[in-house]
Amino acid sequence: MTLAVKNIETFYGGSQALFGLSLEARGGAATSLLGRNGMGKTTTVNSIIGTLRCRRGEIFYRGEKISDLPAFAVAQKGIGLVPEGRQIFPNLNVRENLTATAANYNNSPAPWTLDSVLDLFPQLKKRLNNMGDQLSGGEQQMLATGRALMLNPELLILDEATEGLAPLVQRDFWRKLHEIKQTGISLLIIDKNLHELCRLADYHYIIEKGAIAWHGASDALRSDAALKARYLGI
Amino acid sequence: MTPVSRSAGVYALIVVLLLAAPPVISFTGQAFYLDLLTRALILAIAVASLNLIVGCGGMISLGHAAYIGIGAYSVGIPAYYEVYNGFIHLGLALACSAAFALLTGAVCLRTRGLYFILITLAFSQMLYFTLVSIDEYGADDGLLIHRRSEFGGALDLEHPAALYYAVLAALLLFLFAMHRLIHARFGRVIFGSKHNDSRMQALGFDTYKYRLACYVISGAMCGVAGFFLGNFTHFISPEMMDWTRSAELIFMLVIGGAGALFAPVTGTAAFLLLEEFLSGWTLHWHLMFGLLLIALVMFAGRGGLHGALMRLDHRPGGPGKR
Repeated sequence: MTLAVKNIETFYGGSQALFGLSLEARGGAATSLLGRNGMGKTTTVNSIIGTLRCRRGEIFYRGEKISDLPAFAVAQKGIGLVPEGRQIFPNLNVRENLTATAANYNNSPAPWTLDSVLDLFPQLKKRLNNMGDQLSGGEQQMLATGRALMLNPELLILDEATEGLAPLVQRDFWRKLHEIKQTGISLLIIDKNLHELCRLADYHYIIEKGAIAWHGASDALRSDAALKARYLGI
Repeated sequence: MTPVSRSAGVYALIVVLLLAAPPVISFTGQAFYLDLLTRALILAIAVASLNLIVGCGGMISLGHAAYIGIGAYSVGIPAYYEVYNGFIHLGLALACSAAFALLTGAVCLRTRGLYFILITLAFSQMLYFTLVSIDEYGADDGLLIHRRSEFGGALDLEHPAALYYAVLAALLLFLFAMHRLIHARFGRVIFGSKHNDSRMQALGFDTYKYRLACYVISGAMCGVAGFFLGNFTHFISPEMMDWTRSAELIFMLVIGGAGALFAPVTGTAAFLLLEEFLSGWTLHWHLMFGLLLIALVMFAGRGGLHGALMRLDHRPGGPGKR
């Protein structure tokens, strides 16, 4: 098991956001985290990557407890994040955004490089000298994903992977995610496109009011209209 | 052929003029202007060091003049005991200012924004009042330095042109080092952290350590400015590290254009020239000075003088955006 989140409880000040949430992400597989707005998806991600500290419960990555580690140490363990809103550094150009934080903490024998990221996202080639805030939404999403891949993560988390992207750009981006999955990287994806998620992900978790309300495989999720209506409003 | 930007041309011209200044001034017999330029270049080193933490790292310090004081006292206190070895003075300036930056930065950098400003101010004022209270070293009145730092036969700082060129060499060396530093990964991490620290941490960087290293480098650089200032003025006093001096350094940086490599030189020159000429023109120069400073900041717009020069590049005929 690559990632195991066990009964975590996370708070914003005195306000509790997660109530004993548990989930697992298997190595080499794609896992989705679904739920309506405000249910705790991003809080879960932030708890995993260490920018929010859970008060109770534990998080393990490749068998090692990471819930006590600061964010930079979690990233060094091999967890990459493509955050909601992309959070590109606007004061660095595209090349610098990709290379400034590049690392191979897990000594991957075939690490991602600038060239391999540009092969995956050729649109970025023409924009290498543009500043981070001079890109379209799609380009920013590619850049944020490329930046995370340059950390050579074994687990890549994408928070609202295709939010705000044009339909054609979305379709292209989902194809890229299939390519990334084929390289053996484990994925944990948050998105609202259930159709694409069911094609890409092997296992799904639905979060409701800070706890997992349902989990199962793609076929079970796809065929259960009542479940989708109840928890996802579809 | 790559077009040369107008701003780069202006900066190159400034360097040439600075290199040519001593013989030209000597020829005209206006030695006062060499003193003025020397003072400007010394303060430009201090502003350059401030630029590293403010312009690149977003750490606005209101206590940076403390390092000028530390550097100057590193000359003055040994000189009080008749130790004039320049290597000892310079070593002390670097070591003491770096140590002060390390100790205070370790605390300051736990905070951000207004709290960071206030804590840097508090530390510098603590140092200021500590020196005010030490009678042995002249307290409020300060100390006279009878002889400048001695570097054997290699460099005679007693000669005004030698001191000028030593300061200019140090400034250019620091600007070159800063250019290399901010274009290396270290600088990119500092830049990224300035905009989004938590994102930079989530990308695997312990930004606290990076920012602390940046703060220490900046403090040590500013200590060298203090070393030169002590030598230049033949005098040290706690006044050198007063918080108003720190505010002046920030003003110089903003006028030059925070974050731009050459901004400390243009900002400091503009500030000192304005101060000098207005004070010779009218007794009520402070009012004019304040108004002109406001106008400079307002009309130079974002990026100060550097921003104005960059806009020259983007006008028709210029090389355009990078």
